[in-house]
Amino acid sequence: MPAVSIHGVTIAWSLSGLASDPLAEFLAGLASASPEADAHASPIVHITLRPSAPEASADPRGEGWKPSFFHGIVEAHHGPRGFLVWDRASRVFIPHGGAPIDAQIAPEREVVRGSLKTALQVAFALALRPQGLFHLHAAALVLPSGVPVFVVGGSGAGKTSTTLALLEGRDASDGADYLGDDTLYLGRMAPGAAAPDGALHVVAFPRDFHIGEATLAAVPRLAPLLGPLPAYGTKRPLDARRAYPGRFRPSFALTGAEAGGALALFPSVVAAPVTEVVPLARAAAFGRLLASSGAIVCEGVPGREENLALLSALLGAVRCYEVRLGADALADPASAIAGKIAALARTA
Amino acid sequence: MTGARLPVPNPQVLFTEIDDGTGVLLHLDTKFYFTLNSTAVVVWKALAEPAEGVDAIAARIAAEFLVAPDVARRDVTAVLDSLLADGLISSR
Repeated sequence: MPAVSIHGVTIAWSLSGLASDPLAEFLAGLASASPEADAHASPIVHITLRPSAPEASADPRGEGWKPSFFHGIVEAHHGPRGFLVWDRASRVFIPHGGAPIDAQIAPEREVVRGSLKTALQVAFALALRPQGLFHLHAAALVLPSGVPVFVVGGSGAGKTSTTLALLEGRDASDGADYLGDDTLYLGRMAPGAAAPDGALHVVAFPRDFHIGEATLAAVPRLAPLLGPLPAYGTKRPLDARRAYPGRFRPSFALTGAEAGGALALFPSVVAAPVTEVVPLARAAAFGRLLASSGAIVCEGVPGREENLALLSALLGAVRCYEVRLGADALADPASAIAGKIAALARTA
Repeated sequence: MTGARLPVPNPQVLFTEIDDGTGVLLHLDTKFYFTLNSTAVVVWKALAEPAEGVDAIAARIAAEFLVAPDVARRDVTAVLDSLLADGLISSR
């Protein structure tokens, strides 16, 4: 039975009647684990995958499920027994109480290509909440100076452009390390860990970056490393481990010692020639963190108070800045973004 | 919003106080969030204290933020009106 580990939680899965393993690729970036050895030492999320029956295409509302939230074509429903994630072809049932997750999958019947992967992402975001891990739609990096940086924003805000500028740095020796460009999990450090008990643990969920044409124009050296343009969308995948070898970090702890040192950047694209970095009011920053933690407002999700407390802890450990990306952000990201953020980090 | 009885917070609204004295309300039904300045935080927290009325809150704000009592009263009323309009509180 294959298994991986994230934040001390083991994810183990088994296949029945499937020719390929969709989770092998999806979870490839996480450290391998042995579910047998860890069975008594750490919580386990079990998943069974099997072919989807034709009835799985039926709308779950007809079976009494209540819509909780939608992510594109992917719908999450809730009911007394748990959550059901549905992309019109596949269904992932996440029972309450930690019973094995039942994934009935039919990637060949996807209505929108790639929706199964999105459904699995949503399912993991739901399944990991009871384990104390909460999804945040944001990038995280660590500057060469050791300063952690979060980049928070919705699609099109300039999150990946900002992240790539910091990865590239001002020169070849100045690039940041990274956890990811849009998927993080927040948790608390376990007792006995190197960081103090209860410190905020920021955990990567490795997946490809997705690069749009404008962002690529700013970092043209990445072009040969990009995957093909998918049938849907306008962004091409980038395997960041190939583009930035040796610079992936699976996690970091915010212990409080960084308080005032860590940065949270909130980019937006503006019609201006020059990029500006300006302080952002903390309440506004918290609102944007909430907006990037979509599950928190969803009907029936567990752990809402804990999720809010983790976001508060994150806010308490960072200085917040709005990055108003002007035309120079694409023409000269090293000066327009990387240089300005490095200067900010030095002022801590 | 000048009556003696204060409205009550909508139970579907979550309040988070920020370390600089401001705050954020998250409305679980509408999915909108609202930022509160530090005086609005005082108003919000007072709603949880049934003995408080508009005048008592205004007096507290006048003392804490060094503003004239009539200005404070007007501002408290405006905050409550806004909170009511957005469904964040409701009349008793």
